[in-house]
Amino acid sequence: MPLFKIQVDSAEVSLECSQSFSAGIRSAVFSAIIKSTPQSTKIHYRILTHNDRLYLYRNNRLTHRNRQSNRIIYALEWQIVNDLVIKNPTALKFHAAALAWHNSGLIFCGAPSSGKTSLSILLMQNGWQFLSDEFAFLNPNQRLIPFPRNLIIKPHLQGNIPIPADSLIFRVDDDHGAKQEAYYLSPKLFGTVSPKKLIIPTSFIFLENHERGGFRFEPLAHYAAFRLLMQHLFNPQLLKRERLDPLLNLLNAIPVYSLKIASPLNLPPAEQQTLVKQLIQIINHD
Amino acid sequence: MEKINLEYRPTTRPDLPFRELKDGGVVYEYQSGTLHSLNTTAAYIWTLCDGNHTISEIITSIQQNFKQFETDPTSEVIKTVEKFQTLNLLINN
Repeated sequence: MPLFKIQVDSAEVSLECSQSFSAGIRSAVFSAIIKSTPQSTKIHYRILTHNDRLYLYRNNRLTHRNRQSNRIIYALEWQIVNDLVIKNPTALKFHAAALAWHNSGLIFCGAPSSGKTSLSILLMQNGWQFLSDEFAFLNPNQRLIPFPRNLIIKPHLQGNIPIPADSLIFRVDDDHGAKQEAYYLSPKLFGTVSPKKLIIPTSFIFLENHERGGFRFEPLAHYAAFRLLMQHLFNPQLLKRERLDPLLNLLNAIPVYSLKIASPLNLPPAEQQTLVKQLIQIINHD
Repeated sequence: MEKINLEYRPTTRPDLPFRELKDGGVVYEYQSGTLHSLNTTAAYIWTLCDGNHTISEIITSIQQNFKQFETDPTSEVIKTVEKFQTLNLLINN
């Protein structure tokens, strides 16, 4: 059976599945970084088929079974996310997108549906490198760890993005806990993914919905940015003295902004280019 | 809780580290894992809550150092120190 490996920083998992199932896996689970491998890793997944049912095993222990392949892929994807998060125990994890321009990174924090995914797509289409769309990881040296999970294309984005015909549909939670249909698309469909190296963040940008259309940057006070940052941090328990000081030093050293924006992909092309240019200016500290 | 009057000398708890930000600061309660972010004025007041300065002296210092207070900052200072008290960030003298 084909054997694949997914690696984020020092954490890795391997995955074994039938030939017929491998295309679905490769297109929906960490497509940007999944690679063939000759040997399994300490955390090893297997998907077996028996009597029209799919069985998902993690280290030989059955975790899920279902007749629908997308259900199994959904479960697998989340388990792998969880594994990679747990295996990076010293990284601060923010609910944020992260992208790089010439090896300098920007972190876009925002609530669900605040524009992280559409901004990621717009920037990739303009030559930026993708690091992550959902979780931004900062290592103890305040470097961004690429976590290029697939982009989750929720219904409000589906009209703006060409969806490949063979894409699997997943049922994911919306902002209110109800189910909605989404696609998991490889970031490589829209541009390039940052290679495995660490990236220096040069600004935090906090996304806010802008009812009136267009977009607007506003400099943020650092104390206010810190407060917002804490709202987007998944593991504040890591912020003991040895992690708090470096984070505050980073925050003190870089500009922070709020970006009020409705939907980056719905902006007129000229405004999109202005937005991209202004983000490059922020990265370059112009 | 200590009543706040102009002669009161507030003192921050010594077990609470304060980290300065460009325009404010952060107070960290290690025991509970709670972080308090303070704006510029609150951070300045925090540094003066050392047991040596009275509320009256803090007000004067704010008037001298913060141009944005065109009006009397007394209520702002008292409100901030009351907030520190409510959050149990001060020593009860």
